[in-house]
Amino acid sequence: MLDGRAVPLTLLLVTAIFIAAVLADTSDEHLLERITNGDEGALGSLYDRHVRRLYSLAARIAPREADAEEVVQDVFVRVWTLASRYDPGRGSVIAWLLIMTRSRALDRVRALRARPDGHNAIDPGTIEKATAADDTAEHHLIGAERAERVRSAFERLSAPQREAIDLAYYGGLTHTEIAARLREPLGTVKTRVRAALMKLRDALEERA
Amino acid sequence: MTHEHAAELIALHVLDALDPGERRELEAHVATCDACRAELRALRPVADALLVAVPEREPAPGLRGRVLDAALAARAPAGRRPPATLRAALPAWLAAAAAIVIAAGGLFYANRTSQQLSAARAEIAILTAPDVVRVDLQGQPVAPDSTGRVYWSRSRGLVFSASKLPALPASKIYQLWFVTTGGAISAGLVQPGPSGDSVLTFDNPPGIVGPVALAITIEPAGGVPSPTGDKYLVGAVPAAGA
Repeated sequence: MLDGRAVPLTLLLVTAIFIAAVLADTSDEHLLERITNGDEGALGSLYDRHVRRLYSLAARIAPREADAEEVVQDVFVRVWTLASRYDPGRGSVIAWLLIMTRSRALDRVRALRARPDGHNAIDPGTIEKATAADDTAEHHLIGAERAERVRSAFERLSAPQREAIDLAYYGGLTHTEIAARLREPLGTVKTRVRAALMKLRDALEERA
Repeated sequence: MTHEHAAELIALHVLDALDPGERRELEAHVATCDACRAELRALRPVADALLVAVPEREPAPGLRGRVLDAALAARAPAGRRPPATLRAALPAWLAAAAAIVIAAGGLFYANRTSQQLSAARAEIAILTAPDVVRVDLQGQPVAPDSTGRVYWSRSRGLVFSASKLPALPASKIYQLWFVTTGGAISAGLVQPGPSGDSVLTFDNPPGIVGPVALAITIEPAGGVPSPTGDKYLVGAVPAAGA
C-alpha cells in the first residue's frame, strides 16, 4: 500500500532513475538511438559535438562556404532520417559521420564540375562512380594528436605527392582520371600515391 | 589479377581511387590473399586519418538552426515512432510515473471492489438471517409516491431500500429511525441517488427495545439525535420481529 512514507521514497527513486538515465545517455551511440526514436534534442547534441570536424572535412573537399554548409546540412538530414542504418560493427559514429560527409561533399563537387558552365568539366561517367565505395570496411578514427601528426606529414609531402592524394581522396578522382588530369603515365601516379601513403603511415605510427 | 598487380593497387584502393572494375577484381584477390589483407589493414587507418587531418574550419553560428530545421522538416525518422522529444528524453521518469499511477489506480479499484464485495456479503448475511423480518414502508402525505422496504435482523442489521424519494436540497438529508417505546433511535442517514432510489445496509444501533416501526424523516444535513422533520416513509415492524 502507498502509505505516508512510501510516497516520498518512491519519488526519490524515480528521480534517481531519471538522473541515471540522463547520465547514461551521453555516448554517441545513445544519441543515435534517441535520434532513431525521434528525439530532436539528441540531434542537437550530436551536432554540437561533431559539427566542427564535419564542417572542416566538408570545407576541405568543397571549399566554398555555401557548399560546405550544404554538405553538413545534408549529412544531418540523413542522420535524422536514416539513423537506424548506422552499424556499430563497422566503426564509430564519428567515423560513420565523416565518411558520409566525405561522400556527400564529393557528390557536391562532382555535381558542380559536371555543370556545363563549370570550368574543368569532366567525364560524366565519373559522377556515376558511387562514392559509397568501400563502405563495407571497418573504420577506426585516430585521436586529435595523431591527426595533427598526419596533417603536418601531409604538408611535408612533395608537391606532386600532395596533389595526387588531394585529387584522389579529397577530389574523388580515380587514378586514371588523375593521370589524365596531370598528363602523366598511370604507373607514375600509382607509384606516387603509394609512396605518399607510406610516408603518412610512418607519421601515423611514429611514437610521440 | 596477379599478386604483384594487386599489391600495387592497395594504396589507391584505400583512397577510394580505383575504377569500379579494378576495385571488384582487387577485392576478389584480397579475399584470398593474407599478405594483401595485412597491407590493407596497415593502410586503411592512413586514409581514415585523412578524414580528420584537415585544417580546422569554424562553421557559421547560424548554421546550427538551419541544419536542425532542415532535418526536422525532412520528416520523422525512418519507420519509427513519430517525433516525441519528451518521450525519448524521459523514458525512466515516465515509466515510473505510469507504474505508480497504475499501481495507485489498481489499489484504489481493488479497495473499492473489496468494499463492494463486503457490502454485498453483509446484505446476504442479513437477508438470509433466521430472524429476518420484512418491513414495508409507505409513502406519507409529503411524498405519496415514495415506497420503501427494510429487511431487519435483530442479530445482523438491516438492509434498506427505497424508491422515488423526493430530491433533497443540499442542506437536508433523510434519516432512518427505529421507533421504539422508549423513543426514536437513529439507524443512519440516507442520501438517495438522482432518481430517488437507495439501497443501504446498516448495523443495528444499540438499545433497540421492541421497535414498533421504522421511519424516514427529513432532517438537517448531518443528521440529528432525535427526529425533527416531516415523516416521508413509515412502516410497522411485524410482531415476529419485535
